Amino acid sequence: MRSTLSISIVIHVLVITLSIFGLPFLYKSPAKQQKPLVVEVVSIGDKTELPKPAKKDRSKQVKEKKENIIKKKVKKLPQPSIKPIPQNKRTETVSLRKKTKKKTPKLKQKKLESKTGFTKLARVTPRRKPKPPDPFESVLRNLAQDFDKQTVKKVDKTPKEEKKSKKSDFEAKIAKILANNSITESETDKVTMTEMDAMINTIRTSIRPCWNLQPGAKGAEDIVVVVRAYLTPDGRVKRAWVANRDLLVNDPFKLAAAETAQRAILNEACQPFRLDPRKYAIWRDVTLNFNPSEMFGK
Amino acid sequence: MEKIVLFFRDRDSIILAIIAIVLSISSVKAELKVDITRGTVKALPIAVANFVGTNKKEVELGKSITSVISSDLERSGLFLPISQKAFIDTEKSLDILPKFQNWRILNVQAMVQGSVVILEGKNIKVQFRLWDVFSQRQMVGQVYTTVVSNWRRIAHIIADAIYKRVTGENGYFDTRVVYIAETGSQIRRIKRLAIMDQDSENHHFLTDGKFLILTPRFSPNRQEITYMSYHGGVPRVYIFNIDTGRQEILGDFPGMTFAPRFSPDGNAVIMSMARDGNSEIYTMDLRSRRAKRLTRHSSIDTSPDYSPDGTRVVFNSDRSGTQQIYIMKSDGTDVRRITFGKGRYATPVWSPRGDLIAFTKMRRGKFFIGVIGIDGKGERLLTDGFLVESPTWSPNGRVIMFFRETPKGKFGDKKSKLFSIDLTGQNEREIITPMDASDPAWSPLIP
Repeated sequence: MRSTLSISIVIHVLVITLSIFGLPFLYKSPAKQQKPLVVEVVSIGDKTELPKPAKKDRSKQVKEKKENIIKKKVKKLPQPSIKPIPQNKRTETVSLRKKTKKKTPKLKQKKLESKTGFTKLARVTPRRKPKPPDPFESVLRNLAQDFDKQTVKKVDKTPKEEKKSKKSDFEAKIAKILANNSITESETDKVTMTEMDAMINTIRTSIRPCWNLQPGAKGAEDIVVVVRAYLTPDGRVKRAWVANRDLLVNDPFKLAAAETAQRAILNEACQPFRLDPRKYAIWRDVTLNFNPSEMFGK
Repeated sequence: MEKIVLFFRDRDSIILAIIAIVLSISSVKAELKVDITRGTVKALPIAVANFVGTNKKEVELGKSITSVISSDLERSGLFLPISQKAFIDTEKSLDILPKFQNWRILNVQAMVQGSVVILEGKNIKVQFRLWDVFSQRQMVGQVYTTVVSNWRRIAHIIADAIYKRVTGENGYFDTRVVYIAETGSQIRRIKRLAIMDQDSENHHFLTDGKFLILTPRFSPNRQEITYMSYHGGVPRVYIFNIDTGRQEILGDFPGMTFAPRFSPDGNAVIMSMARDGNSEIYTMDLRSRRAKRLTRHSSIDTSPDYSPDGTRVVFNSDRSGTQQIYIMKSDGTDVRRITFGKGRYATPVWSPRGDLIAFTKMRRGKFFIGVIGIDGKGERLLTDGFLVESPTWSPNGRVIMFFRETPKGKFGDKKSKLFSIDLTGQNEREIITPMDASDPAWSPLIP
C-alpha cells in the first residue's frame, strides 16, 4: 500500500515537474544561445577586437608617445592665418617650436634607455608568480573553449595526485555537464549579440519596402500584428502565418492589417534575406512584430 | 565513516543532477524576433482580369465591368491596377484555380476574376472572386443578379467589396455626388443643382437654374436633398425630392434660413437662421414641422452639422472674437470650443467615422482644407489654394471632396472645380464635371 502510494506520489511529482518545465529533455533545441555573460565577454571580444599590433620596440613607443605630446603642443598653438596674433604671442610660439626642436635630441637618448628597459621587462615576465588556481577555472574554460578541446583533454592521474583529483573530480563532472549542455548546440548554432543584431537588421531592412501600410485606416497606428515564418536555408520564406490572428480576425480593419503584414513577409520581391547560412538554425524560425506606431509618431 | 562518504557521494550526485536539470531548463529554444516598425505607403498592385463570358455580348459587358472596377480602385489611390498588357495568363474560368506563380512574377498581390452571364428577361448574373496571390487564398467571392442596365452599379458594388476586403473599411464607389453646376459670366452666373455618380458618370441636372441654389446636402436615404435657394427672392432652406423632382420650403421662419443639413436619422434638419444681424442655430423636426432653437448668443452661429450618432453638433461661431469651431450637445448645451489655431475656421463637417472634423481655414489671405480631432487635437491641413472650400466626406470617412476656385484671369474669368483628397493628404484628384462646379455633397452608401 505504502509502496503504491509512494510510487503514485513520485509519478505525480514527475508529471508536474515535466509539465512545468515543458519537457525540456524531449526535444533537441535547434538554436541555443550562450549565456549572455559568456557571449558578451568571449565572443564579442573575439569578433570585434582589432588585431593586435606587432610588438613594438618599447623605445619606439616612448618615442611616439613623446612625439604625440609634442604634436599636441604644436596643435594647441593659435593659428596665425586665421586670427591676428599679437607680436608677443608670436614670439612665444617661436620659442615653443624652438623648445620642441631642443627636446628631440633628448628623445634619442631616451630611445636607447627604453631599449634596455624593454629587455628588463621581457626577462621579468616569466618570473611573475603564477596565479592561484581558480576553483571555477575549469567551468569558465569549458564555456569559453570548444567542446572538442575539453573532451580530448584528459589528465593522467598518478597515485600522488589521486586525492587532489578526487576533490577536483566533482568540478570536472560539473564542467562536463556544462560542456555537454552547451555543446548540444553545434558551433554553427552559437551566435553573438552582434550577429543576432545583424540578422535582425537584415530581415528588417528586407521586409520594410514590402510592408505596405495604410496610414489613413482607422486606428492603424494601434494594430500590432505578429507573424511567424519558417525560412528555407537560402533565406526565402517557406511558410508564414499570423500568430495573433484570433485577436484580429473579428475586426475588418485589424484583419486587413494582419493580411498586409503577412503579404509583406510572403512577398518574394523582398527575398531572399541575405543571412549567414551557417547560422540557419538561428534564423529558420522567425517571429516578426509589425508595429506601425513609430510611423505615426507615437 | 563509509556512510558519511556515501552521503557526500550522494550529495555530489544530487548537486550534479540539479545542475543538469537547471541547465536543461535554461537552454530555452532560441527564436529570432524582429520588430518591424517602419514600412512604406504604396498602392497595392492588383490585377483585374476581364470578366469572362460565353458570347460576344457577355464578353463586351465583362470588359466594361472590369474597366469600371479597375478605375474605381485606381482612383482611390490605394490600389495599383496592373495593365492587362502585362498579364502572362488570362483566367478562362472562375472554377479553375488561378496560376498564382504567373501573377507573383508581376508582383501582383491581389487578383480579381469574374464572369458575366446574360439571363432571360434582360437580366445578368455577375460573379467575381478576389484572390490573395501570396497566400493563394480566396478573400471574397460574390454573385449578383440584376437588370442589364444596372451593370455599372454592379461594377461599383464589386469595387466596394474588394476595397472593403483589402482595406477593412467600407468602400465609397457606389455613391453619388450632388453639386452646384455653374455656367455663364461672373455677373450673370447660373447655378444649377446637378447630380452624378462619384466617378462623374450618369450626370444630369436637377434644377433649371432660374433660381440661385447653394449648399446642397443629401438625406441619409439619398432620396432627398436639402439646400438654400433664393426662390422668390428670399433665401430659404428647401427640400428637394430626387424621384419626384418636387421642391418644398422648410418652415416659415421670419428671417433668412441657410446652411441646412439632415440629422443622421433623416428625421430633422439643422440650419441657421439670420434675423436682425444675428444668426442662430435651429433644428426642425420633419414630421411635426416644429422648430427648436439651439444657440442663444449675440454672435454669429452657423454651419451646424450633427455627429454620426446624432448626440452632438459641431458649428462655427465668432463668439470668441474670431471665427472658430465649437461642439455642443444636440440639445444646445455644453458648448465648448475646439479650435485655437491662428486664422479663421469655417464649414465644419463631422466625419462619418466620428473621430475627425473637416473644416475650411482662412489665414493670411489663403484658404486651407484641414481636419482636426473632436477633442481639438491633431489639426492637419491637407490642401490649400486661392479659394478651397466646402469639404464633404466620403461615406467611409476616408476621402474629402471640396471645390477649388482659381483667381481671376485676364478676362475676369475664374474656374471652379471639384477635387477629392485622401484623409492622409495624398492623392488629390480633380473630379471631372462638364462645367464649373462648387459646393459638392457626397451621398451616403445604400445599406
